[in-house]
Amino acid sequence: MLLTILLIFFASLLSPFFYKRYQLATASLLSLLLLGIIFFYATHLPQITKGESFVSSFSWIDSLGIHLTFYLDGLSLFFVMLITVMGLLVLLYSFKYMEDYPNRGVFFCYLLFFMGAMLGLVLSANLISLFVFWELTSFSSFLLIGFKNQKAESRRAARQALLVTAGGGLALMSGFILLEIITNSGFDLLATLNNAEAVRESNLHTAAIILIAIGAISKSAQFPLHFWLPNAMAAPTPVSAYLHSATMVKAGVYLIFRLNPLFEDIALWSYVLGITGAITMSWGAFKALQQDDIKRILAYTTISALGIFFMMTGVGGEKAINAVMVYVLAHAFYKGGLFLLAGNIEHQTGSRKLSELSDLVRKMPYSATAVIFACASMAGVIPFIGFVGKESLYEALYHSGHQLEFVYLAMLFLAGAFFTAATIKIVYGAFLEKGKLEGKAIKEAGILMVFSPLILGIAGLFTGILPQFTVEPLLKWSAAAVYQTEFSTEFSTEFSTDLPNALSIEPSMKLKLWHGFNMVLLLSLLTLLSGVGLYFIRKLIEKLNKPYWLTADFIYDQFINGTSNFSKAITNVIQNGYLRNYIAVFMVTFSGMMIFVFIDGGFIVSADVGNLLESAQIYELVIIALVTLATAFLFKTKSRLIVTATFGIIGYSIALAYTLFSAPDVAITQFLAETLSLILLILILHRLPPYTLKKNIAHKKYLPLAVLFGVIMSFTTFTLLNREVNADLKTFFLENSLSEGKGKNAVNVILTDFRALDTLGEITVLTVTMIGIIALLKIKSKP
Amino acid sequence: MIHQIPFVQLPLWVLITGFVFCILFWRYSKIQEMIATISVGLYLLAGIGLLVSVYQNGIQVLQVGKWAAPFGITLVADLFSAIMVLISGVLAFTITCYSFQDISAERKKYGFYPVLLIMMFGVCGSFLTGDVFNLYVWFEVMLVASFVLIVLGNTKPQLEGAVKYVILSFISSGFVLTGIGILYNITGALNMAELSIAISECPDKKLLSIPAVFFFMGFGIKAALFPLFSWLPASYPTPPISIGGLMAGLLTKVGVYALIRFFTLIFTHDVALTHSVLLIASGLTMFFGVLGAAAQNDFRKILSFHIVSQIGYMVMGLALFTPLALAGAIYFLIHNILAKTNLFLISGIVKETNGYFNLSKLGGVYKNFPLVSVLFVVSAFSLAGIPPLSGFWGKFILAKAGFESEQYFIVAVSLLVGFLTLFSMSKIWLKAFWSPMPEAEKKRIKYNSISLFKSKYFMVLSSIFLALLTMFISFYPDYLISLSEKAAVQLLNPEIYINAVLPK
Repeated sequence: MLLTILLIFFASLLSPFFYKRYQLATASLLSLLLLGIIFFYATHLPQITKGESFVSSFSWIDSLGIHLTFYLDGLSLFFVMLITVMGLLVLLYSFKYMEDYPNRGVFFCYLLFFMGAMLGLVLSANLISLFVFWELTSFSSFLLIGFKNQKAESRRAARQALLVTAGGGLALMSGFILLEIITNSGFDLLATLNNAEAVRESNLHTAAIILIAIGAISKSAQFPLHFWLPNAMAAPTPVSAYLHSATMVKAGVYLIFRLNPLFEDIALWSYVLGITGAITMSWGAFKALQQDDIKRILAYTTISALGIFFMMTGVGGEKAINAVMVYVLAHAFYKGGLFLLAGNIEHQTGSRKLSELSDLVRKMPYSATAVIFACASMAGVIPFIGFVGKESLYEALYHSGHQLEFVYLAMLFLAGAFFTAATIKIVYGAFLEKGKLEGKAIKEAGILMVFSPLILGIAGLFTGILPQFTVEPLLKWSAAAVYQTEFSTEFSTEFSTDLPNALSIEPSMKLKLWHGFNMVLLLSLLTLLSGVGLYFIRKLIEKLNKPYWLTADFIYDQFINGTSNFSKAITNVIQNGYLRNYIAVFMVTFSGMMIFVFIDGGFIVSADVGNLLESAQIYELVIIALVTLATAFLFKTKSRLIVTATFGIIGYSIALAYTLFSAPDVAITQFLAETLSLILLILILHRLPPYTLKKNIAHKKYLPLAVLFGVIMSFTTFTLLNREVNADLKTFFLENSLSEGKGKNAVNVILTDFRALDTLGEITVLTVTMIGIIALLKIKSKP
Repeated sequence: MIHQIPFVQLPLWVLITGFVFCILFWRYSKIQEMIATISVGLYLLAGIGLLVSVYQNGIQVLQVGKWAAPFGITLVADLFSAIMVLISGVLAFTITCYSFQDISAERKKYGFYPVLLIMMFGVCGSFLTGDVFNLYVWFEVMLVASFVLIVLGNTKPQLEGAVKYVILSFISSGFVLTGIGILYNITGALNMAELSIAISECPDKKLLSIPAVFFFMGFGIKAALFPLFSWLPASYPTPPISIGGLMAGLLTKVGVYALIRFFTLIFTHDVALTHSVLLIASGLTMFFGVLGAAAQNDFRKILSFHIVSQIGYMVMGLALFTPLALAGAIYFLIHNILAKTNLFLISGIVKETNGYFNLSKLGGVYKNFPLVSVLFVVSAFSLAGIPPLSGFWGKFILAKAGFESEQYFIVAVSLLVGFLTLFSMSKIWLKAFWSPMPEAEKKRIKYNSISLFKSKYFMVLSSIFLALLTMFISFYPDYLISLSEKAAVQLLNPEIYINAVLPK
C-alpha cells in the first residue's frame, strides 16, 4: 500500500518535467498507473467483502512511536475506490480540459500529489501519519485553488482555504495527542479504537471530541467554517470536482466515520455532529438555490450533502450509518459528474452563469444527457442511486428513535426539496430554456470531457437499479467498520491468506430499489413535489439575504484585517524605534522580577553602611566622587559627544580603581578597551541623525526608573556583601601562583596562565574592535 | 589513533588559525576568501568529528593549560554542545559560500572574512566552555565581531541598527557579568560543574533567585525573549543577507543555548518558580513575536519578528522541563536554524529579482523563478509547521510534551502562534510569489530563471543545500529526534556532566 502512494508521489514529481514535451505518452502512462492501482486494490475486494482486513507497517520515527502503518478494511477500501476511480476519471477529463492552460505539467503535479496524500489519509492506521496526509491534502488544495494565481480572487480563496483547513488541522492534532494520552496506544489507530472504554471514562474526552470535531468541520466545510468552499470554486473545474466535492472535503467525513466507534456512546459527539450537520445541511441547501453561478450552486449543495453525512453520523446506529454510506456513494457519482459538466459548459460557452445560458440540450446533447442523469440522482428520482440513498436516509431517521428525530427529518425534507429545486433550475435554465444562446455556434465538448461524466451518470443509474449486486457488498462492510466496536489487533500482513482479522459481526445493510408503498416513499414523492413548488418561488428566496456584515466572508475579511491592524497597533507600542524606551522596558522587567525575589526571599538590608564608609580609604572616596559627579553631569548635557566623553570618565575611574587594588593588568586592559570603544562610539555617533531628546520631560519620565534600578542594584549588593565567600579558588591561586605559575602577582598569573583563555578572548575583542575602527574610518559614509 | 584527536579544541583552533592567516593576507581579499572557506570547511568537519566522538565516548572534557577543574578553565562538549557546534559549522560554511556573491568587494576588503571567523570563534567558544566567566568572554567576542560585521557597510540605517544592537547587548553583558559576580559571591565557584554542586548544597535557596534573575535578563536579551527582544527587529534587517542570516540563525540561539545550559545545570534549585517564569516568558515571546511579524510588510522584517516568535517555542521546551520537551526544544532549535537562515538567504535571492525587500513591490517570483519558489515553500511552510516538514515535528513534540505536563494553556498559545505563522508566511507567498509584479517595477528585473542561477549560483546552491538538510530532518526526523532525546537526558541528569568535568 505504501508503494502505491509513493508511486503516485513519484509520478507527481516527474510530471512537470515531462508533461509538456511528451504529452501523450505522459498522459497514457499516468492513466495506466492509476488503472494499475485501481486493479491492485480491486484484487482485495473478494477478501474485504468477506470481512477481512489488511495491515502493513513500515517503521518511520521510532523515537516517537510514529510508523507508516496502513490498514485496509471495508471503509478504507470504499474511500480508496472513490479516490482512485474518481481520480482516473478526473485525470482523463483534465487532459482535455486543461489543454489551453500554461503550466499544465505543474497542474498534474499538484493533482497527483493530492491524490497520493488523500490515499495516504484514508489508509493510515496511525493517527499522526493520518494527520500528516491530512495536512498535505490541505496544502495541495491550497496550491490547486491558487492555480490561476494571476487572479486576486484565486489567491484570496486559496489562502482562505489554507487558513481554515490548516487552522482546523491544528485543533485536530491536539485532539489526536489528547487521544493518545487517554488511551496510551502510541497513536496506533486500531489500538486506540479498541480503547473506547478508556475514552468514555477519561475527563479529557470532551476536549478531545471538540478538537477533533473542529478539525473535521473545517475540512468538510461545515457551518460556521463552510465559507471557504464556495470561494474555492476559483480553482479549475476538475479540481472542484475532485477535491472539493468527491474526495478532500470528505476527509472530515471519513475521519468521523473512522473514530465513530470510539465516541458513539458519548452524547456530546452525537450532538456536536448532529446539530452542526443539520444546520449546515439546511443552510447549504437554502443558499444553493440563491446562486446563479452553476459551480456555486454545486458548492453549496456539496456543503449541504456533507452536512447530511455529519448529521446522520451524529444520529448514529447501524441504520443511519448504512444509509449515509449509500448516500456518500450517490453523492460522489452525481456531484462529481455535475462539476465536470459545469466545466464542459464553461469550456464550451465561456460562462457558467445560469442567467447567461440556454438551449444547451440541443447544442451539447451528450453533456445534456449526463446532466439529466446526474440531476435526477441528486433530486432523488427513481430509479437512480440518489433515490436509494434518500430512501435509506428517510427510513433510518424515521425509525431511529433519536430525540431530535423529527427535527432532523423535517430539516432533511426541506433540504431535499431545495435540492430538487436547484436541479430543476440547472436543467431548465441551462439546457431546456430557449433564448440567449440560440444563434451562437456552440459545439459539444471533446470526447474525453463527455466520457467521464457520462460514465458517472450511467453508474448512478445502474447502481440505482441493482444496488444489492453492485455496491452493497462493499458498502455494507464499509458501514460495518463505522459501527463495529471491536477491532482486531492481530495484524495480518498484506496478502496473507489466513483470516485472523475476520470480523465477528454480520453487516446489516440490505439495499433494494423498491420497498413498496410506505410512509418513506410518500416522503420521497412529497420532497420532489415541494421541490417543484420551491422552484416557482425561487425569485422570492433569492431576495432573502443576510445583511452583509453577517456573511461569513465579511467576517473572515474583518478577521484578517483585524489581525493585521491589531498586530500593527501592538507592535507600534512595543517596537517604537526609541532606544531609551527599550532600555526602560529592560529596567522595568528587571526591577519587577527583583522586587518579587526580594519579597519572596524576605531579604532585609543587613549591611551596615556606616561600617563600610569607615574602612574606606581616601583614594576610594575620590574615585567614588568622580563617578558620582560624572553620572550627575550626564543628566545635564544634551550632546551625545559629551555623554560619550563622560562615559569615558567613568570608565577610566574604574580602571583607576583596579590599579589601586593592585591589578595593573586588568587596569591596562580596561584603559585600552575604554579608549577603543570610545573611538568607535564617537565614530558612529557623529553619523547618526541629531539627538531627539530635547526637553527635560524625558528626564522626569526616566529618572524614577533610573533611581529604582540604582536602588535595586545597591540593595542587591548590600544583601550579598556580608556573606562569607568560599575562598577555595582564591587560596589555590595565591598558593600556586609562584610555585606553578612562576609569578608573584597572583592576578597576573591568573590572567596569563590559570585563565589564559579568557585573555585570548579579550585580545581578540580588541583586535576586532580595531578592524571595525579601520573600516569606519576608511569606508566612505553612505546614506 | 582517532581517539587522540583533541576534538574539543579542534573547532576553536581551525577558526583562530584561519583568522590569523586572514590578517596576514590583509590586502588580498581573494586569498582571505579562500582561507575563510577552508577554515569554516574544516570547522564543519571538526564539528562532525566532535559530535561523533561525543556520541561514541560520552562527554569530552579539556582542562585548558592542564589546570584541573575547578581552578582553570574547562572546555566541555556534551551532546547538546556538540550538536550546536556542528549546526553552527553547517551554517558558517553555507553562509560563507553564499557571501561570495552577496557581500560587496568593499566589505571584503575591510575584513569581512576575518571578522566572520572571529564571530564563529565566539559562538563556538560559547557552546564549548564549561566556565561561566569564560562564557562571558566568548559573548564579548561574539558581540564585538557581530557589531563590526553590521557596521562594515557604513550606511546610516546600519549604524543606527548597530548602535541599538550594541548598547542593548552591552546591557545584557552587564547583567551576565553581575550575575557571575553574585554567583561567585554566593558559591565561590566559576566552573559550571562546580557551581552545580555548590548550588545544590547551598543552604539559602531563596538567595539563588537573585543571580537567576540576572542571568535570565542577560541571556533573555541575547535570546530575544519578550519583553527584551526589541534590539533584534531593530538591527537584523539592516546588514546584508549573509550577515543578517548568520546572526538571525545563530546568535539568538547562543542565548537560548545559555538559557538551557544554566537552567538545567545550575539553576534547578526551585524549578517550580524559575521554570514557571520561563514558561510565561515563552508564551509571551511567541505571541508578541508573531504579532510583530503579522504587522510587517517587508520580507526581512517579517522574518526577523518570526525569529522572536520561535525562540518562544524553544524556551517553552526548556520551561516544561521534561525529557520530551527538552528534546523538542533541541529539535526545534536545529530545525529553526536551518529553516530560518534559509529564508533569509531566499529573501536575498528574491531581492536579486528586482531589488526590493518590500512585499508590495515584489511579485511574480512563482511564475519566473520556480526553483526559488520551491526553496521558499520548503523553508516557509516548514516554519509554519505544515507536516511532514521539520517545523511540524518540533511543534508536535512540544505540544505533546505540554499536554503530558498538563500545561494546556501554553499548548493552546503555541498552536495559535503556529496558525499566525502560517498567516504571515502565506502573506509572503501570496504577495511576492503569486501576485504579478507591479508594472512599475518590471523594468528593474535583471534576470530570468537561468541567468539568475548563472550569475548567483553560489547563493542559490547554498540555499539548496539548506533546503535539502531541512527536507532530510523532515522526512527522516528519527535521527535528529533520537539524538535530541539523548542530549535531553544528559541535560536533565547534571551528574553525568559533573562527573565528566570533576572526576573523583
